[in-house]
Amino acid sequence: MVRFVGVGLTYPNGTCALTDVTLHIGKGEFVFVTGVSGSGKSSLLRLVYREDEPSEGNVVVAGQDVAAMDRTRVPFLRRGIGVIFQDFRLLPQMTVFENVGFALDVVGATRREKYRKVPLALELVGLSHKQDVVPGELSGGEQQRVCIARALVNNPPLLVADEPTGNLDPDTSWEIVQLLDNINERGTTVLCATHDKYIVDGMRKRVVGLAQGVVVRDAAGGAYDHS
Amino acid sequence: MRRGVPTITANTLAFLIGRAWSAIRRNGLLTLASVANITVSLCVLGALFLAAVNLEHMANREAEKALLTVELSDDADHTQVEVDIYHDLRVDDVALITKEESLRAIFERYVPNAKAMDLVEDNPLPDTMRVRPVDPDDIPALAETLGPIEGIDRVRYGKEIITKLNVVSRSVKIAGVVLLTLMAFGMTLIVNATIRLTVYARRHEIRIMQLVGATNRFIKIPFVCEGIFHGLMGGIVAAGLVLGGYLQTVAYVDQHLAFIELLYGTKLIVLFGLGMVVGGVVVGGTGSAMSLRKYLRLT
Repeated sequence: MVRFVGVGLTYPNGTCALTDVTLHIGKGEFVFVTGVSGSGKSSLLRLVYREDEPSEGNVVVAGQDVAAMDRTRVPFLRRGIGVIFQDFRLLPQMTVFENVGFALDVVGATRREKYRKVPLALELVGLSHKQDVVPGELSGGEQQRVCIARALVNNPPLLVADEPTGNLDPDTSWEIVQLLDNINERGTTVLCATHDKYIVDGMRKRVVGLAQGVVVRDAAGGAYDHS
Repeated sequence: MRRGVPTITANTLAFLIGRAWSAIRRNGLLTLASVANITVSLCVLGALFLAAVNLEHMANREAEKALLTVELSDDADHTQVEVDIYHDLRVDDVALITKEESLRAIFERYVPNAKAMDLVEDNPLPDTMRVRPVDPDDIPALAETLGPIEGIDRVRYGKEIITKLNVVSRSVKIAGVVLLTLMAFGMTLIVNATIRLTVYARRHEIRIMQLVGATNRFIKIPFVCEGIFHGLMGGIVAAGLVLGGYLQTVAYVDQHLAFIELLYGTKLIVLFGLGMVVGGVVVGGTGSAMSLRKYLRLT
């Protein structure tokens, strides 16, 4: 699903975010990317949905070389990748239904498609009863669920989560990760950056550890720490 | 991943226009600022334009009254001289005024008693011809050419007035073009800044659209629609204000300052109004498309 081959990323200001990262993530996997702040977790994910271009090496997502991709193709790459964030990034003036439907509008879906798919996505994240509420009236956990519903409504084969629990309390974090696990079981590949020891230890999934832009660990069923 | 052809269907078009409209309603204050900005800029530009066109027109009207007066020698062959003058293509019309006519004109003007004319035994005035040029700008050059013609003693014209009028007319033209260009440039900058504000206010929306896979064109359309709408509103309001003011001015000048003749006509009014609206639409549309470029390049 995602393959990094000798990837380096240096930002224009000279910061070296990643060095020689080689990584393969298979279809249907659930992978945690861990590391302290500034270790390159976000940079790694940003390369996947082509927010940044690698300075060296190749990033291949679903058979497409992301680095060599023409700019005009990027939107079509992203339609196959659901992205969720620590800060949710919902549009405050739209209702939950509209926020989720927005992802469909933007790819040119019909009204009928929208009214069929949005309720399904909201049901999956357990927010069917809140569809007419605006994000400001929701709790953090609920807002993250809306974000997940928006990421999933297009049925992407890959879900990229950048610190999805960074703003949530431990119990809510656990619920969100459980939700991601459910989504993974339905066949979606999940790539989740986190520094939350509690959820990584609790899930026992594959863990890719980053330190200063280098992969220092890649363990199946791992815990947050080596020890 | 799914490969789609970036086409825009009727379905999406409805969505896009809907989004533009809801943006216009939601960003009420910014919409107002943007429309007001376009309106004010177009008003200043339009008023300046009308003033320049009218000044030009007035200068031309004055210049049109300008004539050359040719004094003939006593033994001149009038027909031959007239033919010679007409020979120059810059000449529009030639009229002979005999010395008797000139004398009568002087007496009519300055001497109340008409009989007094009989007292003049020997008329000292020469026969003259009035030459009307096609283009008043040519008068000095024409005078030079006519001077040497046989039978012509002297060529007279209001040298200073003509030169002054020509200078005025040319200055108005140049100043008008320069001022209009500067104003148009300034207006584009101001309108651009305002539109950039509306785009900035919605940068999060743009980011999200990019992340869920909207094409750049798709992101652009609602903003450009919005810009065009702002421009359209600004153009209509400005055209109304300027034309309203202008018609009032024309009516006032007509009544109180009848010697000033302002340009006035359906064609001018319609073309001017259309020009304002089209100008607003173009500025609004291109302005928002340009402001968006910065955000879209982030892809």
